[in-house]
Amino acid sequence: MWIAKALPNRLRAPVSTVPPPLPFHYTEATRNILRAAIAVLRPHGGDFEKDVDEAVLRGVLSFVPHMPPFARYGFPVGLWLIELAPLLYGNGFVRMSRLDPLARERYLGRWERAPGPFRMLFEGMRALTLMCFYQQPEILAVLEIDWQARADELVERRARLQRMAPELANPRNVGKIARGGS
Amino acid sequence: MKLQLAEAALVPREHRIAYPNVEDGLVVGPRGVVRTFDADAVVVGSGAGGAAAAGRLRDAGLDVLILEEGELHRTESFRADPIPSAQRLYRDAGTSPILGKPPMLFAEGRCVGGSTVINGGMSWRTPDRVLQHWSRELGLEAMDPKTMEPYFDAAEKILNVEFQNEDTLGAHDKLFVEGARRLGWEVKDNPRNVDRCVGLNNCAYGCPTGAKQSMLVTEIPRALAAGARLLTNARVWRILTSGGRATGVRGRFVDEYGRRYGKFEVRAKLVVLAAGARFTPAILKRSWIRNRHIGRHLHTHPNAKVLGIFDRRIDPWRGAHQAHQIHQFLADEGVMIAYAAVPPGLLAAAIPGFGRAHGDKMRLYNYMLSAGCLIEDGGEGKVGLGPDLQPWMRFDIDKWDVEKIHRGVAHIAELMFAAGARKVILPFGEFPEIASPDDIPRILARKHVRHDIELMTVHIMSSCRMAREASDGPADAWGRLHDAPNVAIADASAIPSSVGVNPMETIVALALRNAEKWAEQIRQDRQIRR
Repeated sequence: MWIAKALPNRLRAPVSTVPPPLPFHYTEATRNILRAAIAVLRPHGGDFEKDVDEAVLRGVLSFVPHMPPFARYGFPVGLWLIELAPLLYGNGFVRMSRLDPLARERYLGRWERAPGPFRMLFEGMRALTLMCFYQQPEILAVLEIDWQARADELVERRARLQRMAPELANPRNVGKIARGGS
Repeated sequence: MKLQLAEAALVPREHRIAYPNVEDGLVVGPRGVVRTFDADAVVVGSGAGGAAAAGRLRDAGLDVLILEEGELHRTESFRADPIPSAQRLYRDAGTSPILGKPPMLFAEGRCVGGSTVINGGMSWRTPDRVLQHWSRELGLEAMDPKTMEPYFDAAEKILNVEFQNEDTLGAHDKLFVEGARRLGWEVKDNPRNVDRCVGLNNCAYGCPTGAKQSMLVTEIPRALAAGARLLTNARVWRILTSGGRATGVRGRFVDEYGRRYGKFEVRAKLVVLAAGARFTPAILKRSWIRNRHIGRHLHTHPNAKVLGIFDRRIDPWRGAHQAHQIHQFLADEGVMIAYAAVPPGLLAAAIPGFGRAHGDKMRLYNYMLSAGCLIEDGGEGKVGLGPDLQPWMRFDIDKWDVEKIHRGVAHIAELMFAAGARKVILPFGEFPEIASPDDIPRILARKHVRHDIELMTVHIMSSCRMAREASDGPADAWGRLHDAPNVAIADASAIPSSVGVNPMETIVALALRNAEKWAEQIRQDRQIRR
């Protein structure tokens, strides 16, 4: 291949084919905080009462390492802040994850109305939880959405359309291409 | 057996594209290795501008090496699942922040094909009034509508721009058009870079049908087949200079998490930056190229989303991504209106609340129409380097933009009610919804409040703008740096001012126009040396 033509390498450090470690590791204690938050943030009631909390947790934890560095490192710090802050909100010396579900819901509701960066921290956790929750296959089924099945069907349909002349595949193409004038 | 063969062959052509001359940086550049390459032109980035420029330079007979920070994800690997797709195809999984008042999220592609792989495919020419502004008021030569026309024609040929087939329109499109027509507004057909689109509406996560004619399936494979080379997972850190001229670039191989592998250096006569309006100024700043306008004049084309809840079922996930736009308010108010159906997971973040209350709202997902107003922003932000030498963006919307956003949101609310919505969810934290058209004046009454507006953007531009003089912008009218003429810019950062419409076609047309000039310059330099 063309790379073989590249100039000889200068070795500055030992060559290693082992990938560097993942940019993040979560302790079990951090996971428990997130687990407790997810249990309250995720929608409940009726058809949404599915056993998906662990899948949501995995989804959130796999998403965070792809986020910008400040979010990547700020996320666990923020989780611990939320965990230890009940004292500031007048709930006494108790951790968020040990509050009963109703008190935890009220407590997180106060974070939703918190000012500036505190609200952003809560918003980030809320958005990640809800995003991972609503994309679970069981929940998509409740919403009567099967995007992937539709994708499979339409991939095949387009392959058939490619066997047709462009103007037959899309009658709006007869004798013209669209011009993006504004 | 025959039947099986026939079925196996029933895949779109885009699933069978060959990508010759591609090397994976993680394979060729493990930790501890430094690789060195030579080329006539090195193109940093493979999105709309990078791919178009690389194609033109290769056609002019140059040895072209394209560097892409992301990976090569082929069409057949795309899935209708937004979370893993965002992780694979987007920078920062689509969560890059723009700090300011209010803060907003920015999403851009990080894969071969760049943002053309994950955009909606809207292919609008730069409006004539904008070209005239560049040409007459900013004094940029050969930028008037007539001179630019052949480049737009060429861009539309590469992108295969066509209108959406009516068979593929969803109920959400019909509702949007119906609402606008009831108000007497003109609705424009959306020109899109698609070929036989079947209306899957997975444009933002990679089109598995191959219908979207992104650079991944058009100019990149064409340039590679013509002899250009592509190196993936290669993040450029800085430009190398000697005696006031660029001699190449230096960078590192990185994976999808940004973990660092080996290093590389490319020696080239021409350096083309097409890393996007966020990373191009960062590379220039890290290279100690001095111009006080590098990173300034950032436009963000902010987008505020509005949701309408209807009594009739819409199924917004069925039907083309976006086939119509409203430009009625673009010239006078700087507001463009469009709809876009997004998957439930992403829509959920735009709906306030959590727990049971949130679930009650999301149960109505199939009854929701999501629309947004895009603002031709007058304010300017900037891209600077943080302590980690990574680019940070800051943009404060000014009071005129705040007013435009409120007007745009009010127009959409009007459209939603005209189409029959029973409730409209607004992008304002402290004023979340209205249930009647009588409440619309309340939106305009709060027009100077900006801290609680929820905004996002996918169109940042002008952070290294072209200008006649170095005292007004870092690049000249042909995208070359005033201070280092063999460094050129081929992405949205070179756009002289906000274009008001989706910028993909503007980027491609400018890249084609400018690349001709760069190639001509290299030819002349060679002749002089002979």
